[in-house]
Amino acid sequence: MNKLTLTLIPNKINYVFSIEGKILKFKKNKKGLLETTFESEKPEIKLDVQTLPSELVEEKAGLHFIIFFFLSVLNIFNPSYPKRDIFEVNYSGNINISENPKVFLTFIRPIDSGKVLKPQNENSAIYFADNESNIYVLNKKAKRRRTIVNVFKALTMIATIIALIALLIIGLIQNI
Amino acid sequence: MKELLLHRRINRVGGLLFNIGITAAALLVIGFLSFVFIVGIWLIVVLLLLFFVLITLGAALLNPEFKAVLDSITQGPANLVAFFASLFRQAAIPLCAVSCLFLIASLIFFFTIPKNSTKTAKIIISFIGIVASILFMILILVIKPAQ
Repeated sequence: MNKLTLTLIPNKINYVFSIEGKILKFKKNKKGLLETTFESEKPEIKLDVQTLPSELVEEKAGLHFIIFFFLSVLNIFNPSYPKRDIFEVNYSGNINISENPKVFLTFIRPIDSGKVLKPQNENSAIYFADNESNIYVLNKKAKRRRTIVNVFKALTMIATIIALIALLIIGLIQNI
Repeated sequence: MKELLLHRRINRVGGLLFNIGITAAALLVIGFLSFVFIVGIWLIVVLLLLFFVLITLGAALLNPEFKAVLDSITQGPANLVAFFASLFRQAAIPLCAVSCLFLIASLIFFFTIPKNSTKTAKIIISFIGIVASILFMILILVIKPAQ
């Protein structure tokens, strides 16, 4: 039986690692790194890495946004939509596991057309297939919607602050 | 994949409840501090008022009625003490209820999702927020404002 040990540096990206269609579940090891193993009879396996689509472009995104908009008092209390989610990853590459390799990878900070995964040592670089699919793809629709949401949130915040100050002034006038 | 999307949505709901709860808790703490360190709060309020007045309502300064109000505010913190005291005494119990309920609800949501980068910190802050809300509500209701 051939075995692959995959190690990752913890990060905030919503990734999904899968091998031969099976989603891998990572666990923290003693060093604080995320680790998983995969066993197969095959000498070569196909590793897929995907990221979750941004909440602003997923199915029924408009309906969900409206619900959260009102629940969060005009978006004021709604947690921000992270910038990293506007980038998509669709990596696919083969790994030779006949020598039971230990592959140590890290996610690079997302930039448009930038590299996604980087091997952390020379041994990992030998096994990891750094091909053309190892890039971040900017979802323009998600970026546009995120900008609109952020601008609207900023305007709502300013309006709220002005309203609160106006209420404070009225309160003071009545109190004096 | 669907499970991950669901967890992300639960995390958002939890985050939303957390934000509301922690804001209410922060208001209670600010309310109490306004009792104790009223001079500091007075300075902040006056600076804020002046800033916004100068920036957004500059023309209002020319209005004699507004100027009279501003003059009376700058006479001293005594009026503000009374104002904040009555404001926060009335709002202490509702704010505490909002804070505790929303933070407890956020904890329920956070406990149902797997670990992520902010989960542990938010759980700890929620617990501190609940305790602080109750404590500061009692303090606001019990302690007499500084004169």
